[in-house]
Amino acid sequence: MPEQVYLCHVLIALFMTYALILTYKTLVERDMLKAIIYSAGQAVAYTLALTLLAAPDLVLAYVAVGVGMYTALFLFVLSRTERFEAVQGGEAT
Amino acid sequence: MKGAARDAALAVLALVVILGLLVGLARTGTLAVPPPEGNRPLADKFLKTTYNWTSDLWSASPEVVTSILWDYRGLDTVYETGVFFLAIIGAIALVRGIKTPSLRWRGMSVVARTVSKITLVAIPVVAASIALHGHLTPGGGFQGGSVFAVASLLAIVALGTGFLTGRGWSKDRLLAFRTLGLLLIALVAVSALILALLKGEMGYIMQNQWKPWARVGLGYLFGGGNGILYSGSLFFLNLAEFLAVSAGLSLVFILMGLPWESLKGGASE
Repeated sequence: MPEQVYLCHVLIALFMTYALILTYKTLVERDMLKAIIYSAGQAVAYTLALTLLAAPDLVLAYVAVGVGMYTALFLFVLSRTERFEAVQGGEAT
Repeated sequence: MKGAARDAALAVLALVVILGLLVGLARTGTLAVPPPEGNRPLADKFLKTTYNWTSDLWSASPEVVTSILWDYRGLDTVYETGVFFLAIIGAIALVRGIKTPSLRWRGMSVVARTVSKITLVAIPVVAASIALHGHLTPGGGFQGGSVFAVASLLAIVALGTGFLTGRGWSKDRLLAFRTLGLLLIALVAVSALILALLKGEMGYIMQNQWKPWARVGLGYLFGGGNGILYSGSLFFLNLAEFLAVSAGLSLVFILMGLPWESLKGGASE
């Protein structure tokens, strides 16, 4: 183990783990609305991790595109299709 | 029972991943513990030349990221802007021939509308500050434009599709602003070269500052002496990119906010 652990590094690991879990939840979720919200949560976790990595230029672009526009675009698309992913038989649940 | 088992497995996985990341980061030196005191050689080079007027390669800006984006690798960013422009053109081509529909989304409740109207003032101010200070602080044209586009998105969702179109934000006008931004970028990109050709000297495309072997530059102080630092081409390129990105993304959002019924029969025109 390292001789000294910084809070910054623990928080980066924590946020990246959140991002991993939320990505997994996005993949397995059948309700598209929930999947989009999980994905936005993943973007928030990435934003916080990028902030801790001292990359403010990236954060400014990522927070506008990843959290704002990406989520809104997918909600627009979702409003014009089915909310629930179809099961194997082809019938919507 | 099954859900609890999965939750426990996820919790164990999270713990393992946290510990693994920590040990891995510390061991491989990707993020050394304690953090390294020096910079990598490449970072060192940029940090030592970007705001150092004794260097031949300086870009007159204390913001290293913007210097790299618009000066050191400026042509890359110009091409990125071109690709983005083509993407917008593609989005417009999908919905061509559609008239402004009479059926409109009316917006949300009074509470949401009031709060949105307050934030709608604040977001463009922040966007302009990010874009116009792009040569001094983190940020730049693209970031500012993206933030601005979030404001127009908010206006469409909370205040209805008629809010922007009723204030003259038509498709053609936004496309004109988008094209104006791109033309400004092209103009700034070749301005130093044109100056050099007029003087009969050596010059480059996307040249920013004076160099001993290419003795033209766009200056860096407004007002001379103790004037305002504008970092040569960086300020103008940020401004043009802000114009282009905010108009382009707002246009796409306005098109996406059109009612479904008008899109179904629109292409037959």
